[in-house]
Amino acid sequence: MLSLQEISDRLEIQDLVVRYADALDRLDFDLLDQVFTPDAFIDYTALGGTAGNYPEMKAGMPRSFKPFGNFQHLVANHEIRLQGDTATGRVMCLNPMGAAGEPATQDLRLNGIWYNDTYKRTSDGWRITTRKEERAFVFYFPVRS
Amino acid sequence: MLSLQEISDRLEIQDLLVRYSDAIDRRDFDLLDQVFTPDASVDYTAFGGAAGVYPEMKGWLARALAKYDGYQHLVANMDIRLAGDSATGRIMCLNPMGVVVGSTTGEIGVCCLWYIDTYRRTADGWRIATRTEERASTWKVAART
Repeated sequence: MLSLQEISDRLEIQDLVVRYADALDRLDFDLLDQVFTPDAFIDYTALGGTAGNYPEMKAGMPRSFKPFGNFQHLVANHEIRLQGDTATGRVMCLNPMGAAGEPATQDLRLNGIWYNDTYKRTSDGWRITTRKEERAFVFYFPVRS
Repeated sequence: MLSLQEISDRLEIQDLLVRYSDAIDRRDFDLLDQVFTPDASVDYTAFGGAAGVYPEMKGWLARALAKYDGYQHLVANMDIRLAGDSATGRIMCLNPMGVVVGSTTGEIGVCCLWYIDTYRRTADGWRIATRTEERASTWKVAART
């Protein structure tokens, strides 16, 4: 049976992963300071993005998201393995990325992703220390205006 | 209020459901030995697949999925009802199946389904004892990859 501590840790790590998605989807990039450790390493290369440490990745995000109007990062299938004050995780993300502009003139891009993560318990709560994207698929759907 | 035992059982059954998806999506079919009981009954006929007991279905899955490129089985809406050492579940799955390898139709398949499950607590943890697919819809969608 899971202990209360383990259940609490799992729920707090789920909160963390939802916070990441919410920060991106609301374009509230400062909120990511409550998601990543300052020295976190992020790798988006599997879907054509960049890789680097958190501060530089955060600085590049406004430009990366500019071509897109509407999007969501739906996270599910969260597998979390606790090891005391650290943990690893694998999280599915279904991510429709709509093009900017109205009416939409470009295809809808649907990304199927896994995040392969490590987490650390800090004095401010759980944080992501590494996040590496793994690609399942990228589909482009034609959109009617 | 849910007891600690009930919360723990629900989380462990959620882990089991995620492990099934991950085994299928990574084509790690041996991992399914940690998902199903050896005598589990599995029924994929709602989508034109096979039905049978787990050991033979494991081989069928490997053959049936070989023809598809990247895909995901996103599980959500987990309705889990505990009854001591057994449980039942109704689980939504959103399943973009991607393209058939070598296909030039410009279409991808998206399956929307529920898994109707029964679970059993074993010495090795929770396992799926029966799984029957129920079909919501199948879409063939124009897309490029």
